[in-house]
Amino acid sequence: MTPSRGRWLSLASVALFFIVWEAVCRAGWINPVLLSAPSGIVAAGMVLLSHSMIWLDLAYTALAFVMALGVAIVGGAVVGGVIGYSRTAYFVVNPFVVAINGLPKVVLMPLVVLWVGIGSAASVFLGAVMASFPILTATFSGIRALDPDHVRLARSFGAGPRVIARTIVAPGVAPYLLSGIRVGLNYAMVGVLIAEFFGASQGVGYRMMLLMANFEVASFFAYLLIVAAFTLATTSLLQAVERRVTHWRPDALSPIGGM
Amino acid sequence: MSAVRLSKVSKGFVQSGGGPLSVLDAVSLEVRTGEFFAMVGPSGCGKTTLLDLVMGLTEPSSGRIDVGAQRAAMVFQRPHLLPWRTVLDNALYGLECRGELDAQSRERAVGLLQRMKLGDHLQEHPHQLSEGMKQRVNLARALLVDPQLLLMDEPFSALDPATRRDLQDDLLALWTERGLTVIFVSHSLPEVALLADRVAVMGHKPRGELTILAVDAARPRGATADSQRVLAEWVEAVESEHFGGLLKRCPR
Repeated sequence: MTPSRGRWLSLASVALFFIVWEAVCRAGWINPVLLSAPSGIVAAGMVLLSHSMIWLDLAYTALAFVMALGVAIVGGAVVGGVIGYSRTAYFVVNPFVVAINGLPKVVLMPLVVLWVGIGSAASVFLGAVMASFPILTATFSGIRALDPDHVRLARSFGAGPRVIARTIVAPGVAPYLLSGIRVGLNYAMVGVLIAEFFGASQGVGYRMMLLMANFEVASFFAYLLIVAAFTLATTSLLQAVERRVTHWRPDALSPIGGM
Repeated sequence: MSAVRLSKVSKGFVQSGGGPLSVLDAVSLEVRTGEFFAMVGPSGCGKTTLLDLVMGLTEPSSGRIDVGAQRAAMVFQRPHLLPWRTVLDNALYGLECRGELDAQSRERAVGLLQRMKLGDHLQEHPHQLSEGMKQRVNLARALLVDPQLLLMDEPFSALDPATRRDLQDDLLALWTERGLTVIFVSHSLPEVALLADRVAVMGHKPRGELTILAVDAARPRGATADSQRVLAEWVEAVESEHFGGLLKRCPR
C-alpha cells in the first residue's frame, strides 16, 4: 500500500467513527447524560474556548507538566546514565528501581498529599516520579548499547573522555533518551492529571472532575479532546526531533501510536 | 634504523576465573623504519595484544617498548565505523579525535576517499556500504592522520577474496607512496607472503626472541605464475617448518 493511500484510509476510518457516533446519539439510542454527540462536544468546546477559565486551567496544567517532565528528564538521565556506566552503582541502585518501578505509582498519591499537600507541587511530584522511570530505563539501555570498540577506536586516535562523550556517548544514547522521553511525556501527563483529580483548586484535571460532578458531559469531553490534542502535539514534536536525530538508521519508521 | 623496538616485553592478564594468564613472555622484537612487517600466528597467540602495546592502548607488565615520537594509527579488524556519521565524517574521525581538524582536512579526506573508490559515497552512512567499502573507510580514517607507523590487526580477514586482493593492492601502493612503516597482523601465511618484507612467527605462547623470516620474493608479487609459485613454496615451507599444521587447524 502506498503511504498516501494509507493516510487516506486512516482519515476515512476516523471520519466514519465520528459519523457513526453522531448518528447513534441523534437516533436517541444513548442517554445524552452518558455520552454527548460530537456536534454537542464541539459546541461546548467553542463556548469553553471563548472564556478565560479553560486557558487558565490549561496554563496551570501545562506548567506542572513541563516542570514534571523537566525533573524527570534530568533525574532519569542522570540516574540511568550512572547505573549504566558503573556496575557498582547499578547493584546499589537497581533494587530500588525494580521495587518502585513495579509499583503502580498512583498508589503513592495519598503519600504525596501528606508530604507536599495538594496543589501544583503534588502534580509535579507525581508526574515526575511517573515519567522518570521510562527515561531512566531508556538511558540505561542506551549506555549499555554503546560499542566498547568505538571507545577503543577513539582512544587509539588519542581521544580523551570529553571527545569520547561528545562523539560516541551523546550520539549513541540520544535515540534511546528521546524514545524514553516520548514515553515519559504521556506518563507525566497522567501523573499531573491524577494529582489534579485528587485535589487541586484549578487545572484541567480538577475542572474535569468538577464538570463530571455537575453532569456537564459535553464540556468534559471537550476537555478530554483538548488533553488528547495536547499530548498528540507534544508526542509528534518529539517524534520529529527523533527522526532528525536518528535519520541515519536503516529502520527509521515512525512507531505505532504516533503520526 | 628501527621504528619500533620491544625489549623483553611481558604482558599478563588476570583471568575472570582468578589465575593470571600470561600472553607475552619477555618478547623482544625490532621493526625497521619503512618496512612492511607482519606477525603471523594462530588465534589467541597475543598478536592483538602486541599491537595494543605498541599503540599504547595498554601497558606492559614488564619490559620496554620504544616507538619514539612517531605518529601511529591503528586499523582494526572490524571497521567500527560510527553508524550516525557519513563516510566523509567517519574518515575525518581520527583527525577529530586528535584535535587536528583544520581547513584542509575535508579536502584531503575527499581526495583520499576518491582515490580509494569511495568518491560517490561520501554522504552515505555505514549501513549503506559493503564490507569492502567499510574497510576502505577504516583504512582512510587511519591514513588521514598522516601516520608514520600503521598498525593493522587482520584488517582484511572478513572480506571476500576479490575485495581482499583489491585492498591489498591499495595498501601496498599507499605504503610505497608514503614511506610508511607497517605492522600487519594476520593468521594467513599466503597474505603475509604477498605483503610483507619480514614476518615474525608467533606460536601459542610467544616468548623471548621471536623467529623472524624474510620473504625473499621480488615485488610486485603474485602478478605472474612464476611469482605465485615462489610465494606458494615459501608458504608451504614456513607452514611445515614452523607451524606443523597449526595454522590450518586454527578455527578461522
